[in-house]
Amino acid sequence: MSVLRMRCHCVKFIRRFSVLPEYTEKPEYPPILDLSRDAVKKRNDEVWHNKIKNLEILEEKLMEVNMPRYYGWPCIGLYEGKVPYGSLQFAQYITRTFIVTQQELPMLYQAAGIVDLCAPILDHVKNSIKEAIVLEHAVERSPSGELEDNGDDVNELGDAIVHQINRVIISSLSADFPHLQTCQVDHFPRIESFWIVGGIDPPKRLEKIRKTSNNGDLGKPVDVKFQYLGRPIAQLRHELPLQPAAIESEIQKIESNVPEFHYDPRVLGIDKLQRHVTNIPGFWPGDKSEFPLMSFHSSKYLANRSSFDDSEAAPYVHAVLASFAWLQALACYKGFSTFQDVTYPLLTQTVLTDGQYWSFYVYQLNTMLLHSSHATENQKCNLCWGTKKLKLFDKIENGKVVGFNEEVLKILLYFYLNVPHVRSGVELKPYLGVNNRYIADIPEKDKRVWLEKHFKHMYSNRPRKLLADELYHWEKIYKVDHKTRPQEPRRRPFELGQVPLERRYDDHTPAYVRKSERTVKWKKFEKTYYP
Amino acid sequence: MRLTHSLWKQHLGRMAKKNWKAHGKKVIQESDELKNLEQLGLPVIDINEVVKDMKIVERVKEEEPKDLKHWVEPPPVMNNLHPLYKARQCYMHKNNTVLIGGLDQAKIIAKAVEVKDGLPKMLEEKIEQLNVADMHKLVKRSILASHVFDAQQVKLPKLHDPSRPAWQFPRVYGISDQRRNYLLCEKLVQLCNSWSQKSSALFAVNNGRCVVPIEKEGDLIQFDLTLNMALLSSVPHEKFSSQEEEENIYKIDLPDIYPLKHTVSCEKTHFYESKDIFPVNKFSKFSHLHTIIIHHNETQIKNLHETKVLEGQLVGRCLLHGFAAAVSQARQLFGEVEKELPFPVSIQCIQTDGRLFDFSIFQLNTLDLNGSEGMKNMFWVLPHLELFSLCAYDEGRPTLQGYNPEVLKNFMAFCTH
Repeated sequence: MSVLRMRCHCVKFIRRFSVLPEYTEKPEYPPILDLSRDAVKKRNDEVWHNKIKNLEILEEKLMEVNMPRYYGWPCIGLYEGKVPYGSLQFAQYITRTFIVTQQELPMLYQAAGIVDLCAPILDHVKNSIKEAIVLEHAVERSPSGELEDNGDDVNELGDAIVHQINRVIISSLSADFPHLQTCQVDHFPRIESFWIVGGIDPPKRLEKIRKTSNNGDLGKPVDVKFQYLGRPIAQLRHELPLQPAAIESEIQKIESNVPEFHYDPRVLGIDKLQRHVTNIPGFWPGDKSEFPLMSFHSSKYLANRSSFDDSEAAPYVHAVLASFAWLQALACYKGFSTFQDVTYPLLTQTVLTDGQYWSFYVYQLNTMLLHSSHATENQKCNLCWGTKKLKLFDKIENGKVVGFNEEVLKILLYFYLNVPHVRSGVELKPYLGVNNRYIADIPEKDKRVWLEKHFKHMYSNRPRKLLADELYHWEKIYKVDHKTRPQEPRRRPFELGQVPLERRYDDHTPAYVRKSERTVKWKKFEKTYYP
Repeated sequence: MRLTHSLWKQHLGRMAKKNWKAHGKKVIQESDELKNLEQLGLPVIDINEVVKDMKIVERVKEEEPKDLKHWVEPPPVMNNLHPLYKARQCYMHKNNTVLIGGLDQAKIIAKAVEVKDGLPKMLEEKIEQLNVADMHKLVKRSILASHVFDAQQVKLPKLHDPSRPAWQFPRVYGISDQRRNYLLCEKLVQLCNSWSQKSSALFAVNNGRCVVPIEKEGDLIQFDLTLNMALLSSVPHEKFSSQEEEENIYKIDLPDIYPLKHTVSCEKTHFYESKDIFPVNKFSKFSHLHTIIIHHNETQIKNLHETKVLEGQLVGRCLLHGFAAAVSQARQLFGEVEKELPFPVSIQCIQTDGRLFDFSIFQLNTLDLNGSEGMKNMFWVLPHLELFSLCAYDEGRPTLQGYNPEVLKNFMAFCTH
């Protein structure tokens, strides 16, 4: 029977190919591929990048980045509020940011006509804000806040003032500016962002290996992965995007001399992490308010580093990293990624404050393609406008604000009055499916439930049940460097040619299904739906 | 296979012996340095001649200064020398205290009676008149944002199945109840503020502390509470009670919880600081508590005897929070008053666990809490209101089912009253 079936197949196969002409007029050769080590690697990477690009479901895109590693990627951890000394160049290079110093921040808003809107509102809001500041200074707070504790850097008063001012401004302006009523306010959101930067000098250890393997890649720059972990005081989001502050023709005029920083980031004292990389702009996919308005960040850490002389540069580092990371994560939710560049600019407004001192920044994301050779080849750059540190008030005396600075409040109001608009003529999510964008849109129930569970599992970054196998010192001495135990059976991963940290995410036995729960009797294991 | 433990796999003895053998035969070889120096014609002096006259100076070890930055003072011993020790025992009622006697016990402590089912008449009329149809869409979005779309992932409490107690469930990660309640209340208050002009005259304050010691029938009871959110106004509430209700007070008796005493399930302690703390100090213009919003976080608020917290106990918690806030407010306004107040102090109280809402009002008429006769305080409460029946990922989809618009109406009425 089976022989007959095989024959049928053969006949079909021959028939199908016999239709094609055997000879062509011009010879058709397969393309000649460059088989050098670099070219093969580049082609393989491109295949993977295109796979991510072509996935329709957003969560699958986010998961696919982690699929090659069971124990996560090694990456450099950037934490909000931890600014290493002298790291402005580094921050600018890894985010490809040009800091515009020629143009004052309010000038941007002058051009947009927001300054004129602000004048009549100012008096109305000013008194309420003064009262809010006085009130927050008068509050007797519980010794242990009921929210999560954040160590020494917690600034309850500053955070409370920000929330209070935000509440006052939104409630008093939302009648005239409906975008403030429809915007979403996040309190202490979870911001995580991942991107890859190329053009970094190779570490010594790698150079040593390269020397011995002699593949001709000595001194070649490497890619470094960055994972940003942040927790702003508050952030505002809306369904519509803000207008870009500078259009493309203007950007080209700006001489984008982004400083270069090719050292290994560990020279700044930043640690390495091993984790599943995540992109979270404070909410899960499916929330409709996906465009940024503004975010507030605590600058309390500046008080703890008063012995350093970089009080002007440090806030810029904070603002640049925080703005880029949030916009990057938001762009990822629109289907872009560190491998596929954004097709339209995104704008956000960032405020750094400890309650009394405020500094304001506007950040425009034009590109996030920074990996491998793009670090040097990419001509686009991101832009950041900023102000100096400004004092909102001097002190509180007898229940009154002394030395209130209206100019600071004005800039803050400009940020609120910057109305988001519909971006016409631009496809906002070109790399996502038309009807299938999120897991919730998948019609098959099993796949939907499975993906939802495993996406959250991956993004929770909970530790693996078993740690990765390591090479113990005694093994290095007696088994690797000196082969003193030839008779022992070879069972350890390094003896079998395995690298535990390079295990794939889906390289595991699927979950066991109990007999009572099986639909097909002989199917012992759960079906998996990894992208 | 040998069952003994395989230790000493690498026999180091032979290696040690070989080492001894090799080093035992070591011959000191002459270096070339001497030869080279002689060739250059440089003088060579024996090192021992140089060292001969040198004295060995003993170094005195300097004591390293203590690292005071990280030095933590050891906690004082809990005995009668402790700075907070008092001879008189105090019954502490903290944020997480749940009274075993529930609402009845709370009523006895606060000497309060329910004069009418539901809320006061003036508020009921207001709720009926409110038209908040345009807000429901935003409220639904806020519920989803705080229950489903917030990206916090922390370890949630262990799951437990009483029918198979040894079964270990996989640990669930998600939004903690503290954060969920905090977000929902923040968002609802924000919406109320944007919606109504009246409520924008109110200021919301988080985590205000309220400490109130009271004397009741020879016992010292101290409330030490955190008001998760307090709405403050510049003017006090007018009284909620009608003439008829005030006359009825004398006819209604306090409940009897015999054999329990009213202080049962309050923590007994000798270490306390007996002082009044009002959430806002005198300098602020907004020093009148308008509404307090308290969270019922299941992970923190538990019965001492490990049973589930009952509905009556939650209402009792509501009552005592309202009572403590009202007493604190009265002392802020009138100083130490022993008996009847010049005018009643009223506090609105909303309690929520993210899904169920308790709306209540406490009106403090008297501070004479002894006995069960005479003037009493008043309490109005609505039965539990469900904001929704389900809000979670249901079969992989974010779902909000059974939304109840009544809750928003009540919430709005409280915030705009």
